[in-house]
Amino acid sequence: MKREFIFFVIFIGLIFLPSFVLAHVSGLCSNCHTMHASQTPWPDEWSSGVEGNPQPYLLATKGSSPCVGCHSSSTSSTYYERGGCKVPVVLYTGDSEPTSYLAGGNFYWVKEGLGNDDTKGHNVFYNEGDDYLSAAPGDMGFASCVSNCCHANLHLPYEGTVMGPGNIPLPKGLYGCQGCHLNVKHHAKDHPNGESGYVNSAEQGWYRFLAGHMSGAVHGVEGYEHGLWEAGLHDGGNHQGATDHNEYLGVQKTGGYGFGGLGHTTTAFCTGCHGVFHDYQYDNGWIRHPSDAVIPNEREYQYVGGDSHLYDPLSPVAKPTVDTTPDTTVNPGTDMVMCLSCHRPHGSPYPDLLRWDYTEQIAGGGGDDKGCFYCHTQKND
Amino acid sequence: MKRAAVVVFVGIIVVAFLMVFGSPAMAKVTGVCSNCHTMHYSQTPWPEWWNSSGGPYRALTVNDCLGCHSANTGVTKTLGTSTVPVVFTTTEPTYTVTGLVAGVGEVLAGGNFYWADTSDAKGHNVSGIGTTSFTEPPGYSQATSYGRPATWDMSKFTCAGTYGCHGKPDVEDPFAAISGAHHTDDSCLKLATYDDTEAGSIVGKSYRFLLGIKGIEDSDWEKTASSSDHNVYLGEDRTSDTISSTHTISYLCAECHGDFHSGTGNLGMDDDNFGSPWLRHPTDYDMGNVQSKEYGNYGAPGTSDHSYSVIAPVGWDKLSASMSITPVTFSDDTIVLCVSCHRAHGTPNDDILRWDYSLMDAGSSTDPRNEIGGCFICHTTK
Repeated sequence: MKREFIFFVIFIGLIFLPSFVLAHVSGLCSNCHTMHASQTPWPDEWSSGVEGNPQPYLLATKGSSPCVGCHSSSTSSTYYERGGCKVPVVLYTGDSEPTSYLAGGNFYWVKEGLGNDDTKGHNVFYNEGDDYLSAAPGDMGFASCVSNCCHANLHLPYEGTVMGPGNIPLPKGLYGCQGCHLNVKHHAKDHPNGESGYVNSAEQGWYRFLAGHMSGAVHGVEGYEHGLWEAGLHDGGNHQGATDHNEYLGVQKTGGYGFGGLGHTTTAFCTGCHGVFHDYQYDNGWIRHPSDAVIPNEREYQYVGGDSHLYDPLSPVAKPTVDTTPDTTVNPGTDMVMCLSCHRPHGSPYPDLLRWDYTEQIAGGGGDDKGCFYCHTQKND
Repeated sequence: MKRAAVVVFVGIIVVAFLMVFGSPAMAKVTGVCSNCHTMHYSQTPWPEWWNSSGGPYRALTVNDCLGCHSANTGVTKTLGTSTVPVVFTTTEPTYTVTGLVAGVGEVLAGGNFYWADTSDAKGHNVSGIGTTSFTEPPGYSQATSYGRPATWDMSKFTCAGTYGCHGKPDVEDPFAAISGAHHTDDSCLKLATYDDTEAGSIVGKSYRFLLGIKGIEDSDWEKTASSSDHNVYLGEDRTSDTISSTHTISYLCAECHGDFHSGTGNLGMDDDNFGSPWLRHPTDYDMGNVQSKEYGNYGAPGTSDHSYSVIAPVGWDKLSASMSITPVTFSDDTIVLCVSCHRAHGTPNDDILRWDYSLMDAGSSTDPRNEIGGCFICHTTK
């Protein structure tokens, strides 16, 4: 009897033993999904437009794309909680422009009806094309791969067949967010929701779901993901020396593009559409701003980050190696400038998706060593 | 209390004085980066002052040397919010060729490449401007003594680098040769803040980016010029026909035209007996040595106090902060230079002379310095 009791206790304990959730999302399935789009009563947190109108991926929210419904908010420009699961906000729909946002920025500034400025974000919203561009700037010629391919625009579904991650054909009609985030795996086993972690495989969904396709089908971006998407680090304040932040991988190369040429880096990913800016950045001297290029430990660049070489989330750098402990310092001679050092991928308050106001970068104008002058430390003197 | 108030009042006055007069005027570029640079050479819409062809350019510039420093007309232009000296115009500038004007106030100190495009004899034919029948610079035989290549390649003649004047002579690419200079703090080259230990140390701290050359830069490139408002050139009062100081403006010229500057035998400005009669017009030689002759009357036309002449400039053998730049005293401050007679870029006159040589009519005037000027600003009784 005593033995059976022990077995019973063990059995009950196993049932209720807390399971470590190593996934981007956590919580009840009904936080995000509806099985038949016919729930009665209809939960308030689900989009009313989904009732009787089932959505892809059985999502219970509805926006201009499968992603927008969950990743937008009129009350928070960083993240909110959905049934205990933290959800990053990349489209703020409040009454005025946000003053705080995540590492990738916010689509507010490019969205028609909100910021409405095509120079300030990637045009990912359906039928909201770019008034100035007919293809990605710096396109290596991929804009004609199929009709409305993402290299040409992000606002219309592509037509044709394109091989995706894992050499599996991409779903038909992708556009917008899924033009970049090709390997969305909300349930991938990487690190718990709200906690930071290092991501370096397809099984983990790659860094921020940034995966390759075609020749890059088995590749993706590696990096250290800040658990809250760097919420709180992009509010106009000084966060130099932050102890927790995204950490980006870099590979020093003066030319090349794509994962094959540049490894599993964010710069490699950017060159999938903007390849000319890296592959043709050097010709007996820099002819375009260096990316995935080591910040020299000489001249004005040796003073990057000031006397203490503090890492600045406003002007991030790429590291030759990334682990589970983000650096609080920047190291000239080994760390690299990259695309994200100057740009935000989603949107920003500034033209060209810059991280700062370029018109306030005044050579010889004094001021703090921030923005361009974080690296070009003496050009503002 | 009263004493404390006085101290505070004086302190405020001192601070105010320093704020107004204490900050050095620097010629390093200022303004938004996009005045001169493009990050990816793909901006939409394309700014109208950027060159839309020929790029991308090294150093992420929006144009090459001539592109930024040229205009349809004028001596300066605005790139965005930055003021840039113009050395090449597509329309002919006004230039009065008499020895009493010689282009002063009409072109910048270096002149204008416009005329180099019209005649081989009227300017340096840097890349893209005119054609030349020369295969090497006149007087080039001793080039290696001046750090230049033994064999000149005229096809590579350009603004900067090994086959140019500005920047590092040991770097062939003009962009690389001049790299960083535009953003260098060059207050050491300004009259109020001249620092002889820094001047000439790097390209950005060298007179007009001429590596190693010392001098005081006029703040508007002699757009306006007078006896009290002008470049101040370093010269040397040489006592032999040899290379001595490597910091004078004439030394820069000699890097390519060395035979006109120094050498043995028939090279240089003299034979083995230094002094008059000269074999070639002296340079880096102080007229104070011959003050007792006609040269002791040197002075700007229309003056009688030996005022510095911007028509026929002379050099000093020592430069210092806030030094007196007029009149001359014939004590190592009346040094004849290459630029006493020539402009560096171009003029309407053959041999890039400052004035029309054909107007220098000896014996045609009893007061040639004041009535003809030019050569006679120094040769005052000829």
